[in-house]
Amino acid sequence: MSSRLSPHALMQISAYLDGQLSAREMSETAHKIQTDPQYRQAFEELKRTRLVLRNTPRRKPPRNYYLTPQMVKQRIRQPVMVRQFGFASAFAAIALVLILLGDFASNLSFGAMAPSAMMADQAASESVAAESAPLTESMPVTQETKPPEVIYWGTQTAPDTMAPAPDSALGGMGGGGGGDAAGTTGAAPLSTPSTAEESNRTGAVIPTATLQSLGNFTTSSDASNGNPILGIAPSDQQGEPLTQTLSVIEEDTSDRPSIDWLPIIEISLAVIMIVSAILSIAFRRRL
Amino acid sequence: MDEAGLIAAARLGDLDAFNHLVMVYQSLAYNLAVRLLNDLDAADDATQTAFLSAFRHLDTYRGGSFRAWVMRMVTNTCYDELRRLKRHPQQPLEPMGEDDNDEIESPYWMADESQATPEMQIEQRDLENAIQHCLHDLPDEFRSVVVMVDVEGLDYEEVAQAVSKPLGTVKSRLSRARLRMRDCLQGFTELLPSIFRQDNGV
Repeated sequence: MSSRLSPHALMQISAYLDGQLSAREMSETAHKIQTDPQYRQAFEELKRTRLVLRNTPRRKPPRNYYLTPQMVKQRIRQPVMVRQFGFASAFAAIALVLILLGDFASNLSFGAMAPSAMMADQAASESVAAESAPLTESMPVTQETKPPEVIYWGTQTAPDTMAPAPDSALGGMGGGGGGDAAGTTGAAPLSTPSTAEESNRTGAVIPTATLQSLGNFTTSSDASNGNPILGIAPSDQQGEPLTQTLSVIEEDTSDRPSIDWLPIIEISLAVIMIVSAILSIAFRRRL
Repeated sequence: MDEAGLIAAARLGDLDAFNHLVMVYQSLAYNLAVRLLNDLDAADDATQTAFLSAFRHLDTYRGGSFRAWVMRMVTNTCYDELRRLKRHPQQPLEPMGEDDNDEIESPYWMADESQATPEMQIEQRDLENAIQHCLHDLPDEFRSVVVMVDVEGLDYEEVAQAVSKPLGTVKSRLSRARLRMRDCLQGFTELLPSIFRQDNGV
C-alpha cells in the first residue's frame, strides 16, 4: 500500500501512467519510481487498476439511436409549463409588491395631510357657528309672529325700508340688476350678509342657525305649503333645522354599495402567485 | 463525407447527416451511460435523450472534439437522471431474488458477440460485476472521469471538455478515483481473472 505518499505524489504517478506530465515531470517521476519502493508500489497498483478498468466488457447497444423527424419535432411540454407557471408566479409577485408599495405610499401621504385638513374644517365650522349664534337668539319673536315673506329675485323696485308687509311682494335679495336698495329683506337684514360672506369664504357647511334665519326672509302666498324649488319650508316646519335634504343625500350614499377594488386585486394576485408557484414546483418534480 | 461535413450538414437541419454521427458514437455513448447509471433501461433512455438533445443544441458546438461534445451531452443527461432518481427513488413492484438480481446486473446475453468460451464469459461477468460495484460506490464526478478515461479511452483534454472542468481538476479526480477503485477491487481479488491477480496488487 502507498498510504504514506501525498495526494500530489499519487496524482503525479497517475498522470505519469497516461503520459500527461511535462518532460521534466516525467523524468522526475520516473526516477522516483525506480528509486523509491513506495513510488514503485503505488505505480504498480494504479497500473493494474487501470488495466482492470480498460478490460471492462463492452456492451452492445440494444438498438440504434437514430433520430426520426417525429422525434425532432416533438415538443417537450412539461418544461414549457414549468416555465409558464414560474413566470406567472413571478409576475404576480412583482405586481403584488408594487401595488402594496403604492398603497403604503399613498397611505403615508394621506396620513400626513389629513390632520391639518380636519383641523381647518373644524375651525371653520366653529367660527361660523359662533357668528350665527347671536342671530338665532334674536329671531324667535319674528318667527312666531310674522309669516314668511316671498323674495323676488332680481326686482329693481324694492322699497328702501324692509319693513314686513304680509300681503305685498317685496324686493328680492341680490339678483341681477337690482337697485341700490335691492338685496335684502326680512327682519334681520343687517346680520345676514356677514354670515353668508363668511360661509362663502370658508367654504364651510351652512349651519342650522343660518338656515333658520334665511327661512325667515321668505314670504309667499302659499307659504303654508312651502316651495321646494326655492328651498322654502312649509309654514309648520319653518324654524326647524333643514335636515330633510341632508338625510336624503345620506340615504343615497348609504344605499349604494361602495366596492374597494384594491384588496380584491391584491388577494387575486396573491392567489395567482401561490397557485402558479405550486403548479410550477409540481411540474418540475414530475420531470 | 467526413465528420466536419456531417456536423455542418446536421447544423443546417440534415437529419440523415446527424444519424451518421449517431452511428459512430452510439456505442460509446451507451456504454458511458451504462457505467454512469448502472441501469440498462435508464441508460437506453438516456442515450436516446442525449442524442436528441445534441441535435437540438448543435449550435452550441464550438468546434474541438465532437466526441467529447457528445460525451458531454451524455454525461449531462445521466446527471439529470441521477438527480431525478435521487429525488424520486424507485422500487421494483416485485422483490427480486438472487437469480433475478444477477441477471439484471449482468445481462451477459447482451454482451458483444464473440467466440468466448463459457468459462471466459463467466470470468467477464464476474469482472464486470466487480467493476460495476466499485464504480457505483464512487461519487458521480469521480465516476464520470474514470469511466471516460480508463473505460472509454478518452484523453484528458476531451474529458475536461466533456465535464467542463479544468485539466488539473480532471487529473486530481482521476487519481482519487483510481485509488478508490484500487481499494475497492482488492475486495474482489478472487473473482478477478488470473491476469489481474499478480503480486500484491489488484
